[in-house]
Formats: sequence, C-alpha cells, structure tokens
Amino acid sequence: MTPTFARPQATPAEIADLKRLAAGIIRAQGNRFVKDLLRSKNIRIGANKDEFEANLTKAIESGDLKLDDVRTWLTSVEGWGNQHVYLYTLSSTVRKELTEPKIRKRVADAGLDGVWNGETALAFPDEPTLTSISFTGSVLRLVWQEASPSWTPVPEKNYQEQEGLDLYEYRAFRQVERRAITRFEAHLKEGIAGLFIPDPIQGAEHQTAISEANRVISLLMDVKALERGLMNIALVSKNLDQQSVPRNNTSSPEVKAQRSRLASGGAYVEFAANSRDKAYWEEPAIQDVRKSVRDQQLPAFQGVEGVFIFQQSEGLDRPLRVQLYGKENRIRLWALMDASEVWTILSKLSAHQ
Amino acid sequence: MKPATSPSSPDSPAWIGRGSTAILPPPEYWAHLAQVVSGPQLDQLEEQSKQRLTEFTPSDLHGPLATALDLLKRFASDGWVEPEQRHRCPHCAKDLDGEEIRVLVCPYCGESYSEHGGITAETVFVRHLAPNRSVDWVVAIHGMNTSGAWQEAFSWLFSTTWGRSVPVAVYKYGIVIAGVVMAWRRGRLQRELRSKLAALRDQARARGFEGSPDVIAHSFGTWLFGHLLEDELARESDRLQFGRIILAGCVLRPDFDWKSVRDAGLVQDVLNHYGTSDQIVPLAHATIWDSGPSGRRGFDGDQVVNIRAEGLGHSDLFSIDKYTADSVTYLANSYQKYWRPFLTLPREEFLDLPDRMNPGTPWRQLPWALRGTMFPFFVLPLVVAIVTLFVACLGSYLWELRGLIAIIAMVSFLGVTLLVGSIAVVALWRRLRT
Repeated sequence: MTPTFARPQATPAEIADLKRLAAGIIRAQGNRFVKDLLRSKNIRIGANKDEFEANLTKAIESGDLKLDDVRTWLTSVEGWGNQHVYLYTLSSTVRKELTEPKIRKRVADAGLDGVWNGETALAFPDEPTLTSISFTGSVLRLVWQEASPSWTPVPEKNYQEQEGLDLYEYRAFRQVERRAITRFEAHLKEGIAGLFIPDPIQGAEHQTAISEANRVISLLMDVKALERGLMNIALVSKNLDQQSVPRNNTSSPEVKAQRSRLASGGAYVEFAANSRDKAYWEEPAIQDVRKSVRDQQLPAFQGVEGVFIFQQSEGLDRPLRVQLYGKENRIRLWALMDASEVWTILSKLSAHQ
Repeated sequence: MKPATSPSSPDSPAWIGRGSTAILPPPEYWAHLAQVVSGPQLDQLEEQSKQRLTEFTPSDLHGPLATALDLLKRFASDGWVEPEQRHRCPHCAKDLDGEEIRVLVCPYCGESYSEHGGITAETVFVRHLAPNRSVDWVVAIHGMNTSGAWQEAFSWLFSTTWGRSVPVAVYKYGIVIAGVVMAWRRGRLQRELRSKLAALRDQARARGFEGSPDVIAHSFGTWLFGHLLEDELARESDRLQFGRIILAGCVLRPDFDWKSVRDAGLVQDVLNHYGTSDQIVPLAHATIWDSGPSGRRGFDGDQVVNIRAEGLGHSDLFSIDKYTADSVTYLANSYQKYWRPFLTLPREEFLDLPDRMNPGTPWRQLPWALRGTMFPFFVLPLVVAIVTLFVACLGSYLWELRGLIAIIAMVSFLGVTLLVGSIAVVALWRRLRT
C-alpha cells in the first residue's frame, strides 16, 4: 500500500511573509518569470492580470506555494537584469586566493559571520546592507539589499478640487514595494566576475554602491588585482560588432548589432538600425559601408558604445538586448532576466576581449 | 511565404493582399500600380524597393506627405509591407517596446508618460526580406588559347561598381592550346590552380577577408575548376571552399555532379551562363576528356541556375566591344543584369533572375572512344607529322639558297663584331681619360 502524506500547512507567519512578497517583490519580477514559478508548481496562471493575482493569492493561502519555493525562485530571478554590470577577468593569482576555507576565514576575521549564507528572501533593510556572503559550487556571491519603495502613477485616482478661485489637481501614486539588489559574483571555473549595480548611472547612489562593494570585496580578496582584470568593454564592443557582420560562409550571426559607434581620434562613425529588433547591417547599403572596416583596419578604431541583441541560441531561449559603454567599461542589461541568462550573455561577451 | 501572383487585369483590385513582405514585388506589380498611382513618388518607391530597403516612411518619398502616406498604405494593403507603430518616451525619446508601453513609467528615465503628454507614436512600413548575401573576394579564371583579356575588364568593372573594396584575384596560366587534350598537361595545370587558390585563400584570410571567394571561370578554366572540385571531394582535410560560382562558355559535362560538390559545402551555388551560338563548346566533348557542352545548352538537374544568352558566342558575355540595344557593353550587361544579382541575392530569390532556362532533355554522352579519349592519340601524331613535313619541305627549299644565306651570316657577323669592338674602344678611352 502506498503511504500518503498530508500536505504540510503553511504557518500564518509564512503566509503573511509570502503575501508581502507577492504584493511587491514577486510582481516586480515580470510576468514571464512569475508564470514560470506558477507553472513549475502546477498552479493555474489565469487569462488576465486579475485572475493571475487571484490565483497567486489563492496558491499562497492553500499552501500550494511555499516560502521555500519562492526563496529558491527569487535567487534565480530577483536582481538579475535591468542593471549595470562591471565585468572582470579573474587572474590565476586571484583565483588561487578564492577558496572556501580562505574566504570563510576572511569573513570571520572581518566580523561578517552574521551574513555567511544569510537569508535574503525576507530582508527589507532601509539602507543598502550586505545581507549575504556565500561560496557554493566555485562561485563566490555577495549580496546587498535595500528596500526601495517606488511610486507608480494611478491616473484614474487623480482628481481636481476647486478652492476659492483656484483649481487644484491632485495626482495619485501607489506605493509599490520593491527591493534593489547589488551583487558581486565571482565564477572561478569560468574565470570571470561581475559587479551588478541596480542604481541608475546618474546620481551618487551608483558610485556609492560601487565603493561599498569594493570595501567589502577588499576584505575578502586583493581588490587591486581584481580591478586590473576589469574587462575592456570598448574592445569587447568593437570585436563583437566586427564579428556580428555577416560573412558569406557562416550561418546567421548569433548577435545582431542594433547600434555601434566606432571612434578614431577625434571623430566617430555610428551605425544604427531604426528598429529596436534589427541589426543595422540588415540594410544592404549600410552593410556594404560597414564591411569596408575589415579586421586589418579595426585597430585604428575604438568601440565607444554598442547595443547588441543576443539571438535565441544555446543558453538563451529569447532575444535579449545589451548595451555596452566603452568609456566606462560598463554593461547595461535592459530586460529582466534570470541568473542563467545573465551569465550566458556575460560569458559570450567575455569571449570577445 | 505567400505566393505573389499576377492579377488578371492591370486595373483590377486583384493585387490587394496578394503580395508578400518576404519578397520583392515583380515588375508587373509596378506596371499595375503605375496605372493607378503615377508620379515621382511611385518611381522613388519602386527604386527604394529594388534597393531592397526594409523600411519605408512617408518622409522618404519627396513631395506631399499625404500622397506619400496614401501610396505606402496602398503598398501595404497589397501585402508588400506592413505598418508598424514605433513608440517613444515623450521625455527621453528612447524607443519603447510592447511591454514598455504597457506600463505607466518610462523604464529608461523613470518619468511618467502622462506627465509629458503621453507616448509619441510614428508609423513606419516594414518588410522582412532575407538579407543580401555578402561578396568578400573573387577569383577570375580564364580559358584556353587566350591570355584572358576579359579578366582585366571584369576586374575593373567589379572594383569600380562596388562601394567597398572587393578584390578580384586574376589567375592566369598562360596560353594553352594543345595542352588541353593532353592528360599530363591538364593535370599539371589543375595542380597549379589548386596551389594558387590555396595560397590566395591564406593571404586573403591574413588580410581580413574571411568569407569564401566567389569564382568566375571561362571555357577551359571551367574544366580546370570543376575537376579541382572533384579532387577536393576526395580530400579528407584542408579542402578549399568557395562561395558562388559563375561559369561562362563552360566545357564541363552537363551531368557534372554538382549535388555532391554542393552537399560537401565546396561551393554554395552555381550559375551557368550559356550562349546559344557558342561554336567552341560543342567541340569539347569530342576533344577533351570528361568534358561536355554545358556552355551551349546548360546543366541537367536542378543544382545549377542556367541562364540562356540567346545568339551569343563563346566569349561574347565578356565583350567590351559589343553593345546591347541599351548601349551597354555585353560585359557590363552580363554583370549588372545577371552576375551581380546572383552573387548578392538570397538563394530564395534566384527565381527572379531573368532568362533562366534549363535543357529540355537530358544530355547523352558519346561512345567511350569518341569522348576525347582517343582523340589525343590521333591528333598529336598528326600535328607532329604535319610540322615535321613542313620543316622538311622548307628545309629542301632553303638548301638551294645556302650560298646567299652564308653571305648574309658573314656580313651580319662582321657588323656585330664591329659594334662590340667599337663599344670596347670607347669604354677603354673613357677609362683612360678619367
């Protein structure tokens, strides 16, 4: 006789936590990923947004969706994509220093034991705070979190009021609970590391986040050695653009260059498609012009900036846009992605140094 | 892809919805449209379409925007393009995609769309043509009994009509006449061709030309190239690979196994441009081993794009002295009308190439002894015998004149001796003075 097990009931506290997550964090991940979560738990998705939210709530209350499920899922989707990335090549010296016992000891020496393998799903600190350091499967992970409530306009709740002779308009915004995640990950096997900053490049928060990350990283490894491996994104942009121009003996390129700017001295030339989904070289005359810059001429140019669309290929089941900023050695990921998609793209980029 | 079909009558609405965004409209469509909407905007649209642009906007067609928009809407309703809305953030002007316009705040600048007057939209008309094929570099191989003067003309034409550098490697193997019937000579020429092509490939790669070379070959050059490909098939490594091949005055067998060559990736596509008045090609099968009249009738099967040149002879396609009715040289006409489109069009659009015609019946080879196998054994002794007889006859006449010849030789010898002696005296005099 097959034994049957009663489904463990979620505690009221767990349900409350999940509802809080559902209200902001889960929805913030984008429908695509939330659908994946519900589908993986065999929870009905629904045909429209209302049904979608109702089913999510119902699944939480019935215990079909548990905190552990959400925790695992958030690890792979929260804080991935829609962010700025600084990519590093890890030298053999740095890699030798990054072993679990050494990291563990440095964490202890720095008094950061409290965040070793720290819980991140339910952390909502008001200020950017280091909430977790972990080392699993040859990947060193550092996570900073910050509750960053944002306001979304609700025009249907706007109203006007007459006061005396003056007319006033009141515009409504709804607070949405979001969480900004800054992270640093070093993938030792692949020999690359990335610093992921969600804060916009404009404003002081971005630099503050970098400084804070560097401060913590310097407690764990030689940060100067790490910085020496900062990837030359200008070179990556230039090489990726050059490789993406089709040849007559290769199949469709894996990457489409939607925009690319090449500079030489005090001048530059920019190739760009009007459409967001096309490569500039899809117009024959533009391709002819671009092909006049051959590999031999390439050293005379610097890649200043480029927007590239990684096509569906191994590791990617949809096209994804990436913007490269050569002068700042910065990568801008626009879409919300999951961890696997982000690392697939970064690995492909690092191959074009 | 929807099939593009001709309307039954030019002014009927039969074109509505019958076009396709994946192919170019055929000439009859433009003729039909000219009867309905004439004017410079239509001419511009036709020109832009032929240039394979994939996006059209009313402002690209000079003249009133309203009529330009009507024309593009008509073009769209006939199915050749489709309207697409482009959205931009009213604040930062960034392009927005489908998901981004559904939210209320711009993901790029963080501003509310409604605060800045709402998302701005523009209609463009797009189509989805297969991209043009890229031409990287080209090899030109000439035929027998010629030094290949056409190669220079072709190379000049090619390099002056392309917007970028497309190098043409001109391969010359000298004037060969009797050698084409001799197996050892053909084999040597073939080995030299392979060696040269391999060297060119390596040099091209080193200079950043990483695509496959396209090849244009004429007459005996087609035989050399075709047999080189057969040898490459047998190679296990370091095979030479080529792009698209243009053959003119071709002397390969019409049943040449292009399928195996293409399946092995040695060539991408083949165009055989044959002249119906070629007087040389029909002789090939009987004189050169493993050859045939494909340059007069086309290749059998469906592996090759056969283009018929009515009334043209063996080298007419390369002529820069003969002109078409449009005052274009035959070479320029061949290049502009057939060869360049063949090199650049996506494969799916080869059907649009003009004057395509395959042979009506399969080619039948001659009996073994008549296929150029025995020919050299008879013709070479014949030639040697004739030459020997000629020398012998000439010799007997010359013997009678030996006295006069001896006097001429003596006077000439004295003259040469005098000149050399004078030069030596002058040189000695100059040396003594200095």
